[in-house]
Amino acid sequence: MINNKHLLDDKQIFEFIINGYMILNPKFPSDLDETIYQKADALKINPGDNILDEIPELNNVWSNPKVKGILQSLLGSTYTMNSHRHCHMNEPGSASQTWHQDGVNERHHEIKTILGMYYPEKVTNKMGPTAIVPGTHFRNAPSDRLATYGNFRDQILGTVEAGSIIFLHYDIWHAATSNTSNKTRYMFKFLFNKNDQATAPSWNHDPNQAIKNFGSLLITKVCRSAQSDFYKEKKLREKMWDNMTGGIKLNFPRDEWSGKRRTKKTAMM
Amino acid sequence: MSIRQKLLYLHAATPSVRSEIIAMAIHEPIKNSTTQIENSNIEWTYNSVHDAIVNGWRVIHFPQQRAPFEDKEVDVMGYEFILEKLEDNFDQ
Repeated sequence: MINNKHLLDDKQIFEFIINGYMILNPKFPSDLDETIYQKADALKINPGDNILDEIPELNNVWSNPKVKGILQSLLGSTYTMNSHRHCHMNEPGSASQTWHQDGVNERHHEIKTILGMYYPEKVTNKMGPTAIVPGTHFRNAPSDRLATYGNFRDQILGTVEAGSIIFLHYDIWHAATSNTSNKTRYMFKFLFNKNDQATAPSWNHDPNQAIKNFGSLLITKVCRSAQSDFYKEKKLREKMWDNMTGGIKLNFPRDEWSGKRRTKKTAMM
Repeated sequence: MSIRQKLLYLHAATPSVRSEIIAMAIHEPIKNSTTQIENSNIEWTYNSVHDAIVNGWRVIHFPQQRAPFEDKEVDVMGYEFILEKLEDNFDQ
């Protein structure tokens, strides 16, 4: 049972729905990050799905109460760790990946799977940080159709402190960037699955706080795109919220112009 | 001396050459050159396709206004323009 203090609140849930990712630094004991880094650096081969056999200390990352609190908040209390996991070794001199989604373009508007990316060492911009395009988890686009994109205006780089975890919606567009440093960057990717549809929020839900922050779903633009796409995206955000809450409808005032003072510059429509 | 083709992919918010650029990739006509996701600050040379045209780029592919779309879903982002610049090939 997770202590409620480790669960997310409504504002954080809205932020995840909008961005499709969040970053946590649980402040593990520093020797944990260092031990994992040293063991990764000593690997002779990449063990793939068997990485926990080689570095069992990784279990301490995913059993941390703050980490479990986030996973429970996003996936429900019955979430489970997927059997697939991988140690991504981004070696010095590497080229960047192309943008991709890890999912296989199954259309839905839920959080079915969370990618947890753990970085045992500080990642600078030269060490091949993971690049992310915020808000793209709603876009159902086969990765090969992303091949001609270069840099996005609104892409972000996962430059993080040692021991940080980036939690991502499984469908978000992301890529490893080139490592121009002289150090290998390690990232441990684990997947977590939702097992049951929500019948109620699995986080610290407060209807008053939710109503106060619900507007963020309707006005926050995190990545420049076509305006018509943005209108659709807002609807998809609401669908995700409905799915995560088990269908809680908030009585949010939707007329954003209501009560606004008319100015001389405002055209009458 | 031959010429060679430098390519610029610009993804704009709408099919208009005046609309805002949301993504950009340049492909140099140089063997073993790479086009990468940058890990440092990016210089956004052009805010629109029109800006690039003013700078001498020629559009060789325009997005289709009548391209299929889905009523309630979103997929790829923006509208793809491909531009070229021809330059002398000093390697040949």
